[in-house]
Amino acid sequence: MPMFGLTRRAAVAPAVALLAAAVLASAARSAAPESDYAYAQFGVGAEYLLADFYGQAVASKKFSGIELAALRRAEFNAGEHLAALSKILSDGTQPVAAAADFTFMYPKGTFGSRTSIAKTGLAIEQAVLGTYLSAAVSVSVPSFREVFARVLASSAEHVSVLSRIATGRPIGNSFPDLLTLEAASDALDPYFGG
Amino acid sequence: MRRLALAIVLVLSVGLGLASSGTAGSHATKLNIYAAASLTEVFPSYDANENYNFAGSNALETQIRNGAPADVFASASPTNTQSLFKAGLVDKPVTFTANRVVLIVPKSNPAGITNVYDLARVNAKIVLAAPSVPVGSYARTVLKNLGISAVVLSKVVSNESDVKGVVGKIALGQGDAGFVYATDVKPVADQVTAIKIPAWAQPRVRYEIAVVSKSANKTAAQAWVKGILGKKGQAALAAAGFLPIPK
Repeated sequence: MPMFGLTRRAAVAPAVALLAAAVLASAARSAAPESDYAYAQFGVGAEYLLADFYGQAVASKKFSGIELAALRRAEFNAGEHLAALSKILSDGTQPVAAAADFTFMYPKGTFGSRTSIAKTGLAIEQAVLGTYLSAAVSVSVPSFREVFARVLASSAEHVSVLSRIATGRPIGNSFPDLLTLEAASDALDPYFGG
Repeated sequence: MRRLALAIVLVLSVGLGLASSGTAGSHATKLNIYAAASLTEVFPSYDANENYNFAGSNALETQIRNGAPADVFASASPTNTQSLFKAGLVDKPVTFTANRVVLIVPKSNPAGITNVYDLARVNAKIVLAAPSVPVGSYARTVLKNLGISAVVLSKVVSNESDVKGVVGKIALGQGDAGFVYATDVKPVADQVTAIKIPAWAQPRVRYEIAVVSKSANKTAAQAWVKGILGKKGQAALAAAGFLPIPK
């Protein structure tokens, strides 16, 4: 019987550990404050906007060579950012927006020239970057912070590409501004229809 | 004999024509249409010849569950129609329109609210619909998405039974701010100011419609549903500010 008891304990122990891990993970998720998820909600909407923007920029046929490749890569990045931010929300059992939930609009003539495309993209990316900076310094869950920090590093590359096309200067401020969700929402509002 | 045959053909063709076009109000018996309170203005403008019962979708669901003599149920949330469908009380629901949530404040705006984040900052009396009412649930989703629900919900002074209750309270100045559908603003545009919610914080507001399984007027009810999904129905909804059926 001691043998049976040992075996049963050995079988039960991993199951208990797994259950405990699941409970702890669940507790960590539910412990995330709503302000953390708010940044992810914003990010999902913003990345859908960016994916649409880069898609239209690529389709405009105003770019070629290295610039076209960069815009294609930025569109790809937006899709990956979207997936990572959506996962934060779905893991936390939060509602996750879909592409069909948004309609986008751009100032007249946006896709008419390289410069106007880059200027519009820059305005969007700078607002998004500023918000991710705020997220990286203010969200409380370390794994969320890591996602925001990595996404903002990628967004900074997009800003550099667009800034070079729009102004000829690929490098900007030493310390980009942090943006609140409220300010970022105001900045991006003109691009969301409906 | 020839005249009789002609008359039969005429009657049949008229009947078929009406059935296929789903023309509103073309049947002998008035339908009992149970519809979300936010449809109060648009449904009668589309078809003034039916009996309407407007209320919170959750209340209508309960009434149908308890055997109320409804023919058609139009809900502001799929939750209510799908729940009845699972219980076998309505036929398969379909989405027929969509909407947006907005914040409204009285024209006098005593709390000085100019955007949704102000709700977290100012001392305000906030009016919501109850959580079980679709617009009440949507409002709470907006606040959660914005990350301000904890602080704002502590300022709620009233939980209304439907969206028109929220509209009425704000229009009369009995509250400083409330969440309603964008389409609720037009009828009280001289009494309230609408404030946009950021698109990324909007909930997915979908309206569903279904024929009630025990309807005594199923054919007419099905034609009515077909009508609201058709060109005329969709035009009426669009004119009232509702959004097209999402793809």
